[in-house]
Amino acid sequence: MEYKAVLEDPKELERLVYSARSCWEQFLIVDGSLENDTWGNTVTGCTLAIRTCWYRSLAVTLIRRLEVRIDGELIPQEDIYFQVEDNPHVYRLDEIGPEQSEEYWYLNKYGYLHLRKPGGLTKGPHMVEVFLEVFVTYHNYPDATYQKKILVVE
Amino acid sequence: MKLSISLYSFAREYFDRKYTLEQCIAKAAEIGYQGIEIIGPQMIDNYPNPTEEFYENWHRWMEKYHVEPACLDVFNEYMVLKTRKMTQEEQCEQLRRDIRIANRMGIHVVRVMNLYTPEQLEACIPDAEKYDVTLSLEVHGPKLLNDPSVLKYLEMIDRNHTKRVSICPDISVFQYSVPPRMLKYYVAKGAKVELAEYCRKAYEEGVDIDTAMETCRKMGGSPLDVLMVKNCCQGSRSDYKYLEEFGPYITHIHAKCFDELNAEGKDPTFDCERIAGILKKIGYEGYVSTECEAFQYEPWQLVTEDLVKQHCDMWHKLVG
Repeated sequence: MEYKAVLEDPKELERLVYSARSCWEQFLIVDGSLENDTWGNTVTGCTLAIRTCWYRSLAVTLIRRLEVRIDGELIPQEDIYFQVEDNPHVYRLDEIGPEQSEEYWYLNKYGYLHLRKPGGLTKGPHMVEVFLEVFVTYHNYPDATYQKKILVVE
Repeated sequence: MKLSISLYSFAREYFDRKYTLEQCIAKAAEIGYQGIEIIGPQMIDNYPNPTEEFYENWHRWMEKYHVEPACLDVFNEYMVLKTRKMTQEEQCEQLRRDIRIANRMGIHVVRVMNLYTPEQLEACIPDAEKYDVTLSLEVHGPKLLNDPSVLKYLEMIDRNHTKRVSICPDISVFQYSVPPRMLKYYVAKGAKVELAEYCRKAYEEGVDIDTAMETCRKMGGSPLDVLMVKNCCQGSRSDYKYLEEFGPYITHIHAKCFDELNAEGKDPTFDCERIAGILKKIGYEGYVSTECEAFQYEPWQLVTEDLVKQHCDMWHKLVG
């Protein structure tokens, strides 16, 4: 089934943002964190750091949706890899399952988004949008955060 | 009665990497708190599998800063397996593990929420006994303190003649108004001042949330205005007599705070004097634990330290 991105559905994005309790949308995308990834001499993509949108640490299994759009171009879900700072494991969201239920995104750790994008990004400013949705068990609903920010590839 | 602070209050400082866990503890001690309450899945490194190093550090910090471990806050993360819900037994095992973590930390009060059913807490009484903790069920607005669901826990406690399950009233069950800081937050984000005023009035008059949200819409409220009403009316106004009546079951108190004290030195949202008076009357000997929510409603600057200092000094006077 094709993934329907919230970032491409402004009404749905607005609905989710206006039903959320999280209030740290100002901090979602980490300034200065956008850089190209290289493998040998090849630029394979780029990495971006984000912060969690909840006020405590959450198991990575509770990340429900994660979307990235750069310069208006949606990054396909299969090209987004997530890694908690100081944790060696790197996962696509669909690779995260019950075995990861004790791996936490700690409140004070960055979440790295490794985006597969052959050629990476040109040097200079890029408009980055991130949508993050986590499931808050004790509220029994998902909480969504969205931010749009210009980051510079040096 | 002693004072503790939930390090939840310093979530923003910890998130910003301004303070490590140790520095949060040091700050709490400096402000004047005697006890430390900590949320397991917030500031415990490598939770749910804390290392030996963590336990050693924890005890060393308790001694270094002359504070006591007061409470461990835990959650029933029954959805954490992603592809299915945890079974009843898995949920109980999860709680048993948290009980053992509390024990290693020298903590005797484990704050649980009503996602753990009375039956599940009952099943964990033997472990609570073995590890010398009480499972303290938090009762939080918008529930009333005497909500029928709370009475089910009290029935189970009575049936088992146990002190290993108890209750933790959060003073949001005695919230008489909307915290000014919450309304200011939404107005800063673009909510209309008149609708913020409506929100406060609606809450004080006991209008139910859905009606208040609908009225807000009819008054021209935008999605943000409606969200403001929804999120700002999450307290309840319980009859204070239940704080006295439930006295024998109370092992912890969450003293919420959102705002600076007013010109009379009082909290604009909670009648702390009345609450302290009742706690004294019932001979409560546990912790009154500050839970400062201000960081959520003023994310553009750090406001917690000065604010909790005011509240700590106020509660010190009230509990005498």
